[in-house]
Amino acid sequence: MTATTSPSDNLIVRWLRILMQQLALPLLGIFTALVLGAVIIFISGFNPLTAYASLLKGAFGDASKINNTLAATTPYILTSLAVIFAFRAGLFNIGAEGQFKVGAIAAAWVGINLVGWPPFAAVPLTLAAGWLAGALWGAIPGVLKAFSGAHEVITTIMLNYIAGFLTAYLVGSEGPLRGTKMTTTLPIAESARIPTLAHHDGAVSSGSADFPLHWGFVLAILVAGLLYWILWKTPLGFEIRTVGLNPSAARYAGINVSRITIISITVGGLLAGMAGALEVMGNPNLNYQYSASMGVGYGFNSIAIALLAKNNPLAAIPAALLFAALQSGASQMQFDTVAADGTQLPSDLISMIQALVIIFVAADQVLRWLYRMRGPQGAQVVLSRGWGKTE
Amino acid sequence: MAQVLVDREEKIDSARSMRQYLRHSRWPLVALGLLLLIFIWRVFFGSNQPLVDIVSVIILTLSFATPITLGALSGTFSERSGVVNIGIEGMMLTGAFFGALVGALTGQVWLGLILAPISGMAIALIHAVLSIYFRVDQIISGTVINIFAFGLTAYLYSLIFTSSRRNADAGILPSLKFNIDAAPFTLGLVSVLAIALIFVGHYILFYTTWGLRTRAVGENPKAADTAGVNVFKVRYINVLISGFLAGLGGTYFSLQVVGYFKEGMTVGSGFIALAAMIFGKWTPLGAWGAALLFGFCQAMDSALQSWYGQIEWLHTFTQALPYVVTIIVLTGLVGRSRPPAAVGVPYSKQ
Repeated sequence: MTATTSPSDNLIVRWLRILMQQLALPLLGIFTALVLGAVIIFISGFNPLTAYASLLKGAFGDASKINNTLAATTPYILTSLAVIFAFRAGLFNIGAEGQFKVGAIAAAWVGINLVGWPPFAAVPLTLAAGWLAGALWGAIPGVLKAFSGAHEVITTIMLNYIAGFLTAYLVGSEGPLRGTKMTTTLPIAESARIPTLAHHDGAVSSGSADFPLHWGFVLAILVAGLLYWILWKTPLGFEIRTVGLNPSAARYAGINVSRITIISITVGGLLAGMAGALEVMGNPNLNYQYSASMGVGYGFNSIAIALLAKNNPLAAIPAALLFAALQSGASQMQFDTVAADGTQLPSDLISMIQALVIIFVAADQVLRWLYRMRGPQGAQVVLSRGWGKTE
Repeated sequence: MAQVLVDREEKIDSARSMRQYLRHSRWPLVALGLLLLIFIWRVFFGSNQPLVDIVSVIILTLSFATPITLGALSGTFSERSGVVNIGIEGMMLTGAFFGALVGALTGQVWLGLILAPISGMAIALIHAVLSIYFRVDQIISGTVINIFAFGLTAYLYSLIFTSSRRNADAGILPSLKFNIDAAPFTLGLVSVLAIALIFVGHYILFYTTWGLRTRAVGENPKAADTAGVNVFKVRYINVLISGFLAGLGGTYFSLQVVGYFKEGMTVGSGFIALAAMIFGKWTPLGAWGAALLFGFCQAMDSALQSWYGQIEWLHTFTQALPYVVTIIVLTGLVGRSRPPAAVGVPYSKQ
């Protein structure tokens, strides 16, 4: 990596050093964002230390809270991978929210109809429904981009709204998929559900006897590893990264850019659809059904996570954990942080901190300027090549 | 002989340009056709005031098109100078919030109208600094603006209004009122301003030195620089103009329609505006035409509902229509409408 790496270092030391170099900037960015967040909290008339302590307590305070945080991490890992995989091919997939929604509702639809099927058939079928729906929803902007040059930033956002209206109709007052209540479907078949990882030991005060963390979490981590392997160890991954770095060079090298464009964003849609399906199939807190509020906000949050992870599939895991922790700790923070006049610190502070984190990590030019560091090395993916097909 | 050839070429030329014109401006025909369709529909299904119906659809179209018009004009200024601005949504939201905030705190809705564009400029300055000075990828910078604006407005709103239970009522801007066939109609002030600004924008971009410089910087910054134009200054000011217009567009939601702020109340108008800008081929008048088309789709949803009550599937369809149209427009037109050559490319003197 750098001149300081000597060949005598053993593998572990070298890996640690690379890891430190990779982590230094993001950590500094998160730290800077938190400091700025503290300033905002202070100006608003609250105690930043109380706020951050209760935030931490809310996210990791006890076994139940850790479980909640990890359960919230699961879909974030997958939706951010959806962004990362497309980003590596130079595509900005803002459509994770819509892909998540269609994946979730497709899984719910199939899952409801599989009553009596054995789990070894019902679980894969339900999951596959989520994959398929998500992939189809992702393929639309991919195909449009490849054949007409329609910019995916706009088409994916539009598809988010369309998915929102479509799913809202499906579970609406006259919707064909609505259950006993409006805005939700019926719960899916018992055999189509994914088991949770742990049970409550003590008395259950409310809701389910299970913690919300399910095997989907393990699956998501495996998928992150798989994507890393695809991107850096296979010819397809090489093609994807080449297209992302320089589409013209890729075209001259004989790579079918249209094909890569379609594949990368379709796989992205598949992953986001999987996130939706897993939420329906595994999360007992959501009652194993699709509800209209699912997936809202995932589009931009997963972009934030992807940018924070510097578009590395493995780094998406801790980045997703950070965002999930911020969110699951937010209500505790609001509850515990009280100003002198009795008002609570609004939990919306979290979105500001998230935005600051992205500014400092994704746009690390600012961070480098702030701490007077050297410029970046190596090639970067360029997203804003204008709106049309640039031949 | 030669003269004949020239004549013929000219004829072919003019025929081609006519065809091109028709192909590129199908939207007025489409809009007219749809309008005619409603008219026939309404007549056959029993309306005794066809003129009132038509005027009401036109007025609704102009109203719904307002934020999209201003957003598209905002995008046109920014992108003509070479800066992609997908942060319009965030700038609108900021304008909507600060307009409502000032209106509610001072009780003067006019002050809100003045401050909203200024707050849009403030947030646009962040985009300008990130993308012009720091040369951050403009798409990422715009995304950051959107997330930041959403968080900032939601946070300040809860801080100032929710927890203190302060009155969030900001007041509503005046409207133009007139009667047709004894039926009253109103068109909001912001909508009137938007129409006026389209023509002002057209004049500035195509008939002033500033407009020429803006377009030069967006097409070929190096050449403009060589000719003595300060590329950075032109880009900064155009991004600020963009923020001003987007902030003004935001006031439509908060100060014109409902009179208060709500979290995320711009519901994607900034993105539809971007599509309108592309549809309008980066010109103010074209953008207005496209915005009217989108506004018309929304007006239909509203008009059909008020005529026949809410029919679920039809409501879903008409709700989704502007978004579907956006995709179709992008797909059909992007290849044929050319963005400013230098859009998205940070400029550096080297």
